[in-house]
Amino acid sequence: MAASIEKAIELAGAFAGGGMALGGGAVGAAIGDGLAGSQTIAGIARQPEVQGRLYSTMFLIVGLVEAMYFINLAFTALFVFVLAKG
Amino acid sequence: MHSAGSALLAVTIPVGDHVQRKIGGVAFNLDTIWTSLLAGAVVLALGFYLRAKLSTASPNRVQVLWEGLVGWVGDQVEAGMGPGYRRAVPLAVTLFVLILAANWIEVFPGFFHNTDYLPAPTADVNMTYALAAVVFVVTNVESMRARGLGGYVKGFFARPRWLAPIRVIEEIMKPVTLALRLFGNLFSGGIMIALILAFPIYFAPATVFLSVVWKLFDMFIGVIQAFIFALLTILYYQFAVTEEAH
Repeated sequence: MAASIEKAIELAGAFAGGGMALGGGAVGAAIGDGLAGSQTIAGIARQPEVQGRLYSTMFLIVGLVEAMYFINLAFTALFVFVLAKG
Repeated sequence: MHSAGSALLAVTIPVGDHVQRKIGGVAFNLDTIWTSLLAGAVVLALGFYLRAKLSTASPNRVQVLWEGLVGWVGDQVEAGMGPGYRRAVPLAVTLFVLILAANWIEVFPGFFHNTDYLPAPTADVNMTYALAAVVFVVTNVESMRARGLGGYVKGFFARPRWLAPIRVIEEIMKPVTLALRLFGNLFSGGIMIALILAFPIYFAPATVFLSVVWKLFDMFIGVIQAFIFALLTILYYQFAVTEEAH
């Protein structure tokens, strides 16, 4: 009985912590992508001929920013599926 | 790892389940091994096809793609390190094409089997750690060759000296973030497909549509992550061998 309550608390803690990690990561990734995109749009508005170079730099930055979110996602999966024995 | 959520979802989503065998007490993820061999075979087949059908007069599409890729990587390497470091080009090109082939193996559906027989090998953290370890070893060996062993160690203790432990941590975090970035992207792609397919049956048209959309996005992410891995490899190589003015 005590063991299953402990397991339930562990699982609840894992879900809550994982949710916070995902939330913070999503906010950070969205803001980062938005900043990169806005600078790209401003750059294209000034100089339409560098569109190709700006696009490739933007995708590079998007990939790096999204990596933070995906690392958070991997840790959430770690918490929920491994550490809390869900 | 375990299946989770049997109380929350109608199905269990196996997370991190691999076809495993223990050989000599060490567990091998066989599905990662055979899909990485498949990705390697694809890369080799493309290379041999290029060599067989090589022509300057009328290049076919494979040749044009290879030429574009190797040309772009060569430009990056020359711009960053100078023409003496052409040996960095095969490393970056191989990493890009191998990781791209490995990521796109995710397109093959799991054949109605809970443990996928053809998962993307880069969705297994062991594969990405191995790739990042290769990059770590190559960049540090090249750094020692370029600066000498004494210069390599002194590089950590450059002014301001109290940053030395942070520089060591940075050097270790480079391959770790390389590995986890690639792993996280591909792993979440696979999990997302499983989650979309776990919708109730009356969502069937939406499920099909969302699966297609997500799979296309996942292939796009595969290209981007391969590109980022190769570009960061070139960048770390460049940082390792050039004397940058801090």
